[in-house]
Amino acid sequence: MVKTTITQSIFDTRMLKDSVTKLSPIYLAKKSPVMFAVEMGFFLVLGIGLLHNPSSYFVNEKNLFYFESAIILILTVWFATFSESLSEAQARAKVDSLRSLEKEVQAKKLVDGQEILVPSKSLKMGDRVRVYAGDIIPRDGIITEGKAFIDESMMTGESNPAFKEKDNPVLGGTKVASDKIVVEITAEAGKSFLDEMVGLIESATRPKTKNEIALTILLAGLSLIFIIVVGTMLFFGYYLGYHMDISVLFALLVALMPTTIGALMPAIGVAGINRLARDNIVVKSGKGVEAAGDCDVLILDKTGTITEGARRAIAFIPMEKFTEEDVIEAAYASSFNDSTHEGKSIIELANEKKIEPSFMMEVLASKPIDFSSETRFSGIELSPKKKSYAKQDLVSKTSTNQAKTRVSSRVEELEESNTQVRILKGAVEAILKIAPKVNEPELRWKAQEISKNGGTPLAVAINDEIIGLISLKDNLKKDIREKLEEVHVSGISTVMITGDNLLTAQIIAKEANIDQVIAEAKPTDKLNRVVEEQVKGHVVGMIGDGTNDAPALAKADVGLAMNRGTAAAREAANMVDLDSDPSKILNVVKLGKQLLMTRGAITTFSIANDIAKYFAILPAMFSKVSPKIEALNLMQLHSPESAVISTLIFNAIIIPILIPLSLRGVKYKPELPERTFIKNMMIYGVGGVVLPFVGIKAIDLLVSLFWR
Amino acid sequence: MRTLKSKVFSPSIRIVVLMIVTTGVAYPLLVTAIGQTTLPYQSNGSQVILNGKVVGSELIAENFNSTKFFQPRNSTDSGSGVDPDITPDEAYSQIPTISNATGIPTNALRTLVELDIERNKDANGLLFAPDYVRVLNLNVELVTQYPEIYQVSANGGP
Amino acid sequence: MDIIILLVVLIGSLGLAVIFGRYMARMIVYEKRPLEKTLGRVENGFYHLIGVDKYEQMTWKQYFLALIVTNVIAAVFLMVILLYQNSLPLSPKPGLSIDLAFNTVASFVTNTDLQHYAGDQQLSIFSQMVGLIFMMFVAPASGIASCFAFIRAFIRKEFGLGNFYVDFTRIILTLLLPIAFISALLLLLLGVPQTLDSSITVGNLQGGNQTITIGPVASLESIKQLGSNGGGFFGANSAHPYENPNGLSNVFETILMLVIPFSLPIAYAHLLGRGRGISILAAMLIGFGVMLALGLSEHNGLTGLETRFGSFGTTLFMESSLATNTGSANAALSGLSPNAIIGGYLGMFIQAIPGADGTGMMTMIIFIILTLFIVGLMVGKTPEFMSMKITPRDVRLAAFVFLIHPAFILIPTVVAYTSENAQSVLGTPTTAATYNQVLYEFTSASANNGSDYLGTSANILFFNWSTALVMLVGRYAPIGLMLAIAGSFTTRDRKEIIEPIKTSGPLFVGVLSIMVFILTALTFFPFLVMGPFLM
Repeated sequence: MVKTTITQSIFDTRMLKDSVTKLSPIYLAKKSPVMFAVEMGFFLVLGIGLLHNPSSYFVNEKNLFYFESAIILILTVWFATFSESLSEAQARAKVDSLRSLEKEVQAKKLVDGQEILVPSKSLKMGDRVRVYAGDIIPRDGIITEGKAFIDESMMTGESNPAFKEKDNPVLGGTKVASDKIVVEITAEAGKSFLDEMVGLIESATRPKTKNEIALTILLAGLSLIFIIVVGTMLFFGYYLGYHMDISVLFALLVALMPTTIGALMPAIGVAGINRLARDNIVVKSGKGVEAAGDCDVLILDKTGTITEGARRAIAFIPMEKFTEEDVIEAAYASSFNDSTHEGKSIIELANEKKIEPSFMMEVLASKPIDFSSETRFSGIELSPKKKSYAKQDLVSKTSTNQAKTRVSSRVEELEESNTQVRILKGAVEAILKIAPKVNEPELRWKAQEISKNGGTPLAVAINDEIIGLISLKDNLKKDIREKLEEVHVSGISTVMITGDNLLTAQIIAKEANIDQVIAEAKPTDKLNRVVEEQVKGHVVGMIGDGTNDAPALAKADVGLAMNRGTAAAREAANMVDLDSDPSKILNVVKLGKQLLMTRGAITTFSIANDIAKYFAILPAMFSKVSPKIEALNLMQLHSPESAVISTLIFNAIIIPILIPLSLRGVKYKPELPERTFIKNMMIYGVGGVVLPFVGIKAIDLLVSLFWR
Repeated sequence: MRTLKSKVFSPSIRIVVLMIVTTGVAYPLLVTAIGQTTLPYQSNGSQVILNGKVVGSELIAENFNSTKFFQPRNSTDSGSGVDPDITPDEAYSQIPTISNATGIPTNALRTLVELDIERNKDANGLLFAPDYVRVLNLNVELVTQYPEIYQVSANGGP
Repeated sequence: MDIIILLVVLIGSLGLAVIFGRYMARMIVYEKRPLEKTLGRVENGFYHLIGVDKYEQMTWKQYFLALIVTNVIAAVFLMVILLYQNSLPLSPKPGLSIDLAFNTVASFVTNTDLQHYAGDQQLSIFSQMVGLIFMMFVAPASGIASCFAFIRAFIRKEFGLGNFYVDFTRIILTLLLPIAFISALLLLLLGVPQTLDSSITVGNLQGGNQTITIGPVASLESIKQLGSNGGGFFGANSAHPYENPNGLSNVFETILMLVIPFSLPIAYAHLLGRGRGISILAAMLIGFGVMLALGLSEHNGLTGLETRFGSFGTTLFMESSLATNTGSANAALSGLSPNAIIGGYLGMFIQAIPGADGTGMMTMIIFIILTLFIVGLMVGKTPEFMSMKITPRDVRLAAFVFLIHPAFILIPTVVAYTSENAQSVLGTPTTAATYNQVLYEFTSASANNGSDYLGTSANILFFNWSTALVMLVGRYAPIGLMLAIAGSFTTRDRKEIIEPIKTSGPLFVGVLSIMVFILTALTFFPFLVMGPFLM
């Protein structure tokens, strides 16, 4: 949806008008000194054309020549402003598509439990509104009641509705797809996330990044040098009696000045931000994007970035006294009331193995034991036998065909002795505390084995006896290995941060191609690591979503916050991913590199062009002075006049030709920087030397067809 | 201001004074002393002595207005204006004139020129200079070899 | 034979550079040198007399200030000598005019040695010896010292830039003076005179007498060549047989010019990575090779040349002199082919192939930083030098370094014409050849080279003052800017990982050489076309 809007609306009259407005000398003087100089040249050459022979010494071409030169010069400037306006129009298109979401809606505000219809803009922070299926959430807030699926596709492009429940943040402009919820408004009018985003993309006062500043200085320096060169040539020509035409001198100046990069620089910067916006990443400053290119250490959360973020049961491992079936029965029972992803995966795996507890009736009637951070286990407590005695008979009958497992016998035994039966699962250490009846070395050895394979062991116990272990494993995200391989090749080292124990963490790191791990991480570890790497001179990128990530996000050079994360995290980061896909940090890095590469490539190209331009214009300038100059006339252009015009035309049209490149960016392939360097040097350096020779010659052939 | 004086001006003045003494006085005087004692010929300008009398410097072109002598280059033709040497070709081209004026056979003159070229070659480690003729040395050789012809000149001016 | 001379010069200068480069590396990081105990004791005596603490580190501003103040004091001393040489001992001659004296002082203190006077006719032995020889140590020592400070900035964080007085003392006492001393003796052996007499009067073979100017030439000649000074004892400079008596002395003097400029990249190799230093040396040699190729592409006629050097020995000496910005000449510039002159311009425009003692190396590093900045972005990272980010400030300062040179060559040349001073010296109409002489004058002044066409004919108010100004700006502005860059690098974090673009290897050498060529050729190409090319 967003993409179509862009193509529809960028080539509009507003953009064209804007590109013409930008031709104002005052604007150019401030924004682009190079283009300002070209425009001054336009006025000068036009003036010479209009005034009839203002000087017999410095003006010796036909009037038509001056008008032609003037037109090409002003076109050169216009191409520059056009490229800038075009990239800005792209940004605007994104803003407009976001703005359209921000429609005024009627909100059902809750006052003393009653729904009152009010316009959304009258809502204040702390107000509570009820939102039904099909309604648009009026502004950013937090769910205080209910759960629902929310359609966020208009904001993120993600077509699957997201499930949200109490305490989850929701965004204004998104739509409730099912059920109803009560939302407490957390943003002032005009201060919602959407507003913030629009403001960021639209902001015209994008501060220049360090590299842009440095490059601007360099280009200004080069321009100044060429102004001195051409300015003094005027005098020397005069004293030497060479009769150099002032417009030809200006043509030389314009040809030598780095007009190509000067014209495209603003567009390249805006385009970088646009391309991220198209990826649904909102950039708060250009700095972040550039830093992303420099990023050489990425701190990645294991969960959600490298792995799916959901651990699944993959195996049941019995203690020596038991069988796999025993473990499955106990694990099934302990997970019966567990609605977490992990719990469900245990039941699913059991189903796959076609085993369920033989004491299913008791399980059905059991009481849940919820997970708590103190106990760190969960499970069920079977109800006393008496109450379900009849049912038990029934079950026994149905299962007479099966050989009784040790576990079911054990459960039966316990129930008969009227002991309370608790079937629990949890971390090995936690279970060991309450169920010491086990061969501890065996348990530890088996748990270790699971860890060694990258799994997380959970122990399952019936009362004080441990039956076996469940191996849980978090799957790697699809393609993550390849993505990280690319990252490696570009010379970036990766650090994975996880709460897992070191062994598990290392296994996953190995599988996913991660360099270093921080295992059993505490909340402060992220920040410490960021600072530590920065002290070593590294540029650090990281992702985060929680409030506890905020300090590290703020400190990191590239901080990518998840849209679904807390406001604090979004505030601290320098970019926000609307899709909340942590692995997109890799896209950001790639884009940052592309941005710098594009700038470098066009600069190199621009400077390399000068060689050919000299060989086109200098012989033209001095051809009347001395026949010796023929030695330099490599290009054999039609006439001195056509040489100048052709060079100017080449100089002008190269700008629109390179607009797509500057908007799209130079192709980036993950590989050794040295390879990239050689490749780009060949394309833009050598190409930059050769192309103008060919291009100017071709234009000259074309021009000479029409030459008077 | 005080620190500027003590930190910058004072050490700068002292270092300049020390270096004047070391490099401007001691160094050239030491080289002079060694040169004058061990290499007096070179130190004093490579003066050529004939019959106990200094007749010029080997290294400085000397004017010869008599056609009996080999002529150096015109002073303005060379880089220094005092180029003491001429090319072998130039020397050979002067042989007929000299032979006419002195009666010395051309092949004798030619041999002398060649000997001088060889001598200069040796002085240049055989390889480090093009072949050239050192005019004063050649003319001194002429005077030494043919004292009767150059008698007048040897005694001071024709 | 020519090939052998070329090989001897290259192998000789590079071989000596290997030895001195290692030695200078030790000087830069204060490591033990041969005879350390003795040298240390002498130096400590000097530090005591100077009143400096040898362990005290300077900031770039302090270092630059100390350099400037020391240079100014030395300059004032020389000025006084030149103005009042008539009342000083050793063959007194009339004092110079203020403008000529100022020009000469500016010329020698800036390591330029442009001479608008004829040394043999206008200066007393005292002026040549106590004034000029002394200054010929001060100028290169200042250049090498600032290069030492500059290199230290990259060694490691907070290594410090060193102490100017310590560097200056050590460079003169333990580097320049010993080499100059031995070289002076060798030159003596080859026929360069050394006496305190100002002239000798000798007889002629044909009768009559002649007076020949003479003096302590050997002691001046050695430091003149070694210290990229170039100011001759005689007006004819190294073309004069007393300065350069034969082919052997010519080869030796050529080697002397190249030794220190070639040593610095080798010192760099020892301190900052073998590959990096060698690559810098390779880039310098490529540039120098281009100059030589240009020079040798046309045969020079004998007019203006000395017979004993021939075309090859002259070209080799001249291109070396222009490449190292020594500026000494063993022939008249007018005797050189246009291509040889274009080659010479190339050396003076680039100033880093290999450039003058100290400043050539610094300039080359600035070229590297700019090259890395321009092409470095293409790998998708903020460009780095020695694993340190290149900042906007570095680029601004480096851009100034590159702006100064064309501005202070071209604008004064224009002024010389608009004020009609050029025409008054060279006559009208202006031709490519006379224009070339004026352009050369200011190029030589700005590059602190010192060779020139005009010589004593430029001894007029305009050229004396204008070239003095150009020499001073051309010397101190880049040194100040480059030290400012060094100052900020010394406090910068170094990354532990490898640089995105290695500053070594054939690829980098190639890219650097092309960028060096483009950055200067683009600027000066039209003037070469208008001047020497059309001569």
